[in-house]
Amino acid sequence: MSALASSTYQPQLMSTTLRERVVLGAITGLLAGLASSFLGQFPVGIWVYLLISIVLGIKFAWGMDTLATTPGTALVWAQAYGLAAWVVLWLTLYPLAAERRLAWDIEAARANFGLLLAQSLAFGIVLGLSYVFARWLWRSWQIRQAETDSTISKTSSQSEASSQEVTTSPVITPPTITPQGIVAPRVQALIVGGLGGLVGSWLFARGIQTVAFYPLVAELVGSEAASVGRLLHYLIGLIIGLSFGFLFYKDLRNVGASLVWGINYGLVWWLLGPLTLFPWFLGNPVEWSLEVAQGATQGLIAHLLYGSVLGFFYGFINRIWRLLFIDSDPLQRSSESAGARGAKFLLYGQLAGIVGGVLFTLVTIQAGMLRGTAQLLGMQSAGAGLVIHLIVAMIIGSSYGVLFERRETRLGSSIAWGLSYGFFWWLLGSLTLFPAFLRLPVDWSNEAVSAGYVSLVGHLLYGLALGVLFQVLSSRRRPAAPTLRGRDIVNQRLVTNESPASAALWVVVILLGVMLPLLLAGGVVIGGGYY
Amino acid sequence: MTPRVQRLLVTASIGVLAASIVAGLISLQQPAATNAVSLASLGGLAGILVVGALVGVVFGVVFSDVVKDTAHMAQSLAKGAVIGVVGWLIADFIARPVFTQTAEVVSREIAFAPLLAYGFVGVLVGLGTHVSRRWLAVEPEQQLIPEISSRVVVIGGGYAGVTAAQVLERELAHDPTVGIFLISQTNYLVHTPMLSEVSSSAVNPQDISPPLRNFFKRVQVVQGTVKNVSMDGQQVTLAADARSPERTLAFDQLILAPGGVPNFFGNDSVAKHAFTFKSLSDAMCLRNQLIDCFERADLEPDEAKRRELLTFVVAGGGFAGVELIGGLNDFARGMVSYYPNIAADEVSLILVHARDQILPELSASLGEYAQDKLEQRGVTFKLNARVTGAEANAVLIGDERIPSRTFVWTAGNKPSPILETLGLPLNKRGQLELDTELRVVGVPGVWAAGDCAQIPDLTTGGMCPPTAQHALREGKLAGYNVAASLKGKPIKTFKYKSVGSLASLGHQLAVAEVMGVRFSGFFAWFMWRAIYLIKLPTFQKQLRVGLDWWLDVFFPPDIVQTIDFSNTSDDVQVTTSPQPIAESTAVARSGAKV
Repeated sequence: MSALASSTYQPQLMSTTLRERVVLGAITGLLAGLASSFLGQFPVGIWVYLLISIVLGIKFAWGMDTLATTPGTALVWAQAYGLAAWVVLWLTLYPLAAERRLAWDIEAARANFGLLLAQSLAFGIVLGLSYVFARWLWRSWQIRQAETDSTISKTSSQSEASSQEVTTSPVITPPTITPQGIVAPRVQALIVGGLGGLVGSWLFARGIQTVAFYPLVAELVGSEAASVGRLLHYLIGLIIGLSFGFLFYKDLRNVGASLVWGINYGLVWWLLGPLTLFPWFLGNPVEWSLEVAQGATQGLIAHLLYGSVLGFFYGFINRIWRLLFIDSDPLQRSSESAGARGAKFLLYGQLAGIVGGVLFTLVTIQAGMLRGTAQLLGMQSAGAGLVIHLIVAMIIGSSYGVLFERRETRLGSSIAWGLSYGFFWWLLGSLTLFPAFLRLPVDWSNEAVSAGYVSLVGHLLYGLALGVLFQVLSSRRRPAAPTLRGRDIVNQRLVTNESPASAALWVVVILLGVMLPLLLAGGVVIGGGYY
Repeated sequence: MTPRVQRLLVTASIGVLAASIVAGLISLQQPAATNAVSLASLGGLAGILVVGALVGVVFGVVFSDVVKDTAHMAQSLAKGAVIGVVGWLIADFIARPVFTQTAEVVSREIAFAPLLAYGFVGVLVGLGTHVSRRWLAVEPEQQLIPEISSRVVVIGGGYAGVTAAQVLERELAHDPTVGIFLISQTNYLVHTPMLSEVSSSAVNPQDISPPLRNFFKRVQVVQGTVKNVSMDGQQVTLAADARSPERTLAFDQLILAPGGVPNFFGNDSVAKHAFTFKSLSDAMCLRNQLIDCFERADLEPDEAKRRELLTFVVAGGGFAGVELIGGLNDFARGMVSYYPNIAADEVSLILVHARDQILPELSASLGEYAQDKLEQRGVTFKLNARVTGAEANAVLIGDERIPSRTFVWTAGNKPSPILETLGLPLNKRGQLELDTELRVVGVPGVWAAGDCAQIPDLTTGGMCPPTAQHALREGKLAGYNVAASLKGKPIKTFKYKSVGSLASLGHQLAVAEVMGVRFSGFFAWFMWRAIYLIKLPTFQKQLRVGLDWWLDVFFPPDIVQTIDFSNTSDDVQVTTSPQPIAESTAVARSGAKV
């Protein structure tokens, strides 16, 4: 090997071989199976379940290795994978094989609720994170080995080459332009994530201030003092925020997407917190069942909102950061200014919001909800309710335009983000702000969530129309060819491309967002905590 | 059948297949099984198949990346699940109440099974589409770079030309085979109503001149001067400047909108010594000339020479001249406080106008109002007077000689001289003769708009005036008609009635006549600013000018001189021996010059 060749040698470690995937998948599948088997109630024996887990792990590694590029993407893909496994295995194939029936009806699904938590959340979380960690360990070890081999090879070839004159003509290569921020992205992610976690904790505590919240939290460390509870609460918020930044900073493309990622992360912490760690720390039995989940419905809504606040704050600070330090860089600036783009998206969002509001009205009329809306301004008539409803729809639409700003995207992506945003506004608007504005107690109980089901459907239809129309409007005057020029193409790639995990995120947030209120409705409600 | 329709048919078929599989799964159940999910709850077999087909079509439309081979299989499945949820929402909560004519919302208990069923259908559609694109050879549409088969060239980067190019880009958005080119001498569009704001230092020059390349995504902007247009060869020859090699650009359709140039009516001395006021650089030059004169006057001990430096003459009492003199008057008089050796009464601004009333385009009362207000603010008028000649340091009005180093000519415009070389029909004023569809009379494929064209005014029976308002509409129609003729659609005739006119007179004063209603004073000034700010292209420029105007309330205008005239002014003669510079402001103010 010549001196030149040996010095430019780079081991090809970025792609994982099929054999590596199978081994890593089997190990992490087993790990995830073990973690989820402790608390899940399975219709099959533990050994069969572990075997299934290994197979699922291998399949995950085989099929999704290239998608699971970061801890965040691995986590959310594994969650979606777990959810799919729950539906396909435990609601479809197994009951069909065992009883010649599908468990697609709500009672059967409720009976398998523990499995949903075990598969979609516990199995998924452990599988995703452990797989990406195991792969990182494996690659690190390989790189170390390759560097050692390369050093030995280089030393020997240098001694060979020292007796020869190697003349290479200078080749001028264009510099690779990689503008840097003022701090490393990971550090920025941790700072912003930590701040977001603290802000989310503050709002979380304010949202549920009606109960003796801090003493309840203090019980985690055997204390009853509110100050201890407060400290612990913010500490937990900080940890969640830091971990959010660490896990997802490569996947968050805009404020809106960050908000939806936050919702999913809230869901993860609902399982980890009130359903697992909280009872475990208190020395109570940990049980993943429908009854316990029903009792923790308030905690679910609180966590989802907490996650959305965290995600929103994270995305917002990042956006400002990007605006100040990155987008303003002449090397990265688009020919269309951020201000002009923002104004345009604001307008499109407003128009789309009005149309979405009209579609929402189809449901509100069926459910007779317009009079309730009119009460926001102390009026009674359905006509006034309709006007208020459309104004609110327009305002939310404009916020969609600004938060989910994108220049080039697919209609399907816009629909999915719209549905997710509709779900968020059901949480924030229907379940929280609406009763608050009417000076009613904010009720996140199982019954209230159940009663808000029609509103949820309306919000989803609203989000659907919002996504469709926004995309149609924003791509309205796009010429057939060529669409983008020089730097715009670079900028688009940097800013607007979807994360490879967006599709998984939509599935988890939208499907679980629709399913959980249906599944948690009815049944016996027992007490439960927020964490 | 287009590839797009074929693709949707395939995805619809996949949807039907997916729905059949789900229906098959349901039918595999024991009939007596408790809580069994039934086809009836999904609207029967026909219902689920229809939903399946729709899910397939929607999936094919909204997730074309799956069909075009850019998505991972897991992504295809997940995206299918999302569309399944959309299918559930529409089928259960919009279609079901409509078809069954029930006003009740589907209950929670009933909704769950369809959610899973349609979700399954969606996932299977995603899977089927993903697989079919590879194995069933559903060819994705090729994104080929289209060949340009016809070219439209627009000459002129003013309002008419830019608007025409914008309309062409929009109207031909779906026809990439047409190349659109805009030739302009500058790489920006000047918002001409605000030129006087630049010369009076109220706004920054670049804030009223958005770059042409910002307007377009598809139109190719070519900066250069047109040297020749061959009508027979259908080719434009242009060059970046006098020393650059000439280039050619072929056209099938040509829109001429080169605008106008100052008309000195053959008076060479005026042409030599007068400043013009047509372009951004003219406005910038004037602003700097004003500052330069003040700087020199501050140093000048000779009173006569100081007066010569501080006398500013504008010829022409139309919109351009009046707005300019109003702006210059504010700027010049506002600057006096910075120069301790210049007395306010030494500054003189004179407007020379050939008629007995300024602003002849407006009602007489508004013209009188404008004259009164400007006189109150220190402007001197010489009406019924014509500039007969100019020198380096004087303006001649008949026998009268006004010493001045700054003489601005706004008293006449004529169409661009390039028109004279084209062999096209021109009127006495050198304008192109057009029909009401904006075609050059007797020359197919050649259109025109703006100041260079004589266009019949169908609202008055006369000819359209050469205003920005008309140029903009003419450009719009020219662009539309060219696109229409390329698409084989009927073209339209030009018919536009002017909404009104506005003229700024300086600080918070203006006159306006809108739809026959006359306004003057502060309200008219507010209207002037609001309307022209809205008309200013691009939000960014609007924001910057708005900000400039706000800052103007709190801070004085900038007097930084950005152009140095010391090397260009060949007429300054130093004849006296050096004298000391004045030291006392009080002495200077009292008139006792050093």
